[in-house]
Amino acid sequence: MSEHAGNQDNQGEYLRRTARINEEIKHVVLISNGINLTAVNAMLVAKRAGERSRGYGVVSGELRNFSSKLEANMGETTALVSGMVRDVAFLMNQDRSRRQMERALRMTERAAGLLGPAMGRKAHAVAEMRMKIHGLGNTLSRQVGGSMRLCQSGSALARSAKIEAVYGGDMAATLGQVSREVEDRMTELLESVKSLNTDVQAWQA
Amino acid sequence: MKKLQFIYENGEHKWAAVARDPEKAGFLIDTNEYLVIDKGEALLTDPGGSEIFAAVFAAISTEFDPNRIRALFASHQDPDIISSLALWLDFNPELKCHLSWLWGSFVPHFGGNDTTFISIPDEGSDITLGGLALRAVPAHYLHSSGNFQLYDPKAKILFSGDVGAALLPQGEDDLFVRQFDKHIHYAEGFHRRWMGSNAAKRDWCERVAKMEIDMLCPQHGAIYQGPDVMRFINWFDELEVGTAIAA
Repeated sequence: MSEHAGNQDNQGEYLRRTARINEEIKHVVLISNGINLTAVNAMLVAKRAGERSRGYGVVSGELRNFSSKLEANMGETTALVSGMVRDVAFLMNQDRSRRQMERALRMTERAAGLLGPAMGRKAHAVAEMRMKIHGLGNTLSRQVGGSMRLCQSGSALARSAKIEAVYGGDMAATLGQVSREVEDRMTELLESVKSLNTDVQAWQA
Repeated sequence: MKKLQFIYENGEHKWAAVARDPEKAGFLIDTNEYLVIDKGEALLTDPGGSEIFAAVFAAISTEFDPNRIRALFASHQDPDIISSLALWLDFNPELKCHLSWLWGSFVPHFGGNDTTFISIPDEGSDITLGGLALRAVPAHYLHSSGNFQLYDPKAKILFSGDVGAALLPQGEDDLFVRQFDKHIHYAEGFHRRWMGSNAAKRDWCERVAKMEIDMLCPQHGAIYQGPDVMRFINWFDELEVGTAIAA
């Protein structure tokens, strides 16, 4: 997190960007919920196909595992960002009152002596909060990095599902359709997580 | 942290209550903020004090994009209503604030400039949100001299500000009134002391009794629904208020 000049435009923009990341996470969660449904569907289709596509059954089971891990990952990320939104909003509040005191300082030299201790306490509170948010930002960056790696493995699974579908005999068409759905959702998810990763890096800069 | 809970949903038209923060400091009066949503836009009623801005903002963000809040509605001038104004404007300088004309030069001490406020005349006004025609309903002297409530005729919801407020004890945190007779004890002291005019109260009760209201949503306490709405209006009509003069 860069050291903002402390003017109100920067603080407002900082909160706006944090809120935008929160919205992006919600979008990613929506897509990952869709993948969960698709993975369940794939398992049901694999069950119907039975012995005709044992390989597909294995892949669909791994897809279900993947979607469980993804759900847990997204849950952690959501909680993390939710806390960050609150902390950035709190920082904005603290910083605003610090700037009010600075205005008083600029108006009279006498204020420097009178407000000095209060300014010191406020500056300390702001610095502590900034450090906390910086730490959370690093955690978020690692978390999103983990999401990206997870999505990349999910994409590999989707490709495997497509290959296995071909060997599904008379169920090949159905298996193929489900596999394409999985692949489409996985592509959408990976793109969203990449976009999120870019925004998180920019937010931290 | 505060929680956002949807209390009305009809397609894109929703109301949400932002309430009940177990981490709130005990010396701050508890408040309910309401988000009125239609076609992706929102209006936030009585957005709250500066000390709870972070909690309110974070709660809203869990379910709704705060960038889509177009306006604030301030029922009156108290700090628990609107002292977070400057922070909301830091977040979105384009936000407008609907406010009684009476407080037009007072509330800017909390923030805003000469383009922020949309003055509401004493008789009230229509407020458009998405496809909704909301109505600012006069409730002057209940308790503020320039006081408005917000009515949504489609949802049949009245945001009633301090009217209907109750100071709930710890542990009584249901968002809705479940047992009216028990709940109203928590409202009595507040209404007797804060409401300053029996004449204003009488006038309000007469007008509001004729409105179609399924939910009466106060800024403090719990929401009255169904038959409890009329129960409250009748109770309030009978209550002697302005007790500090008698003391």
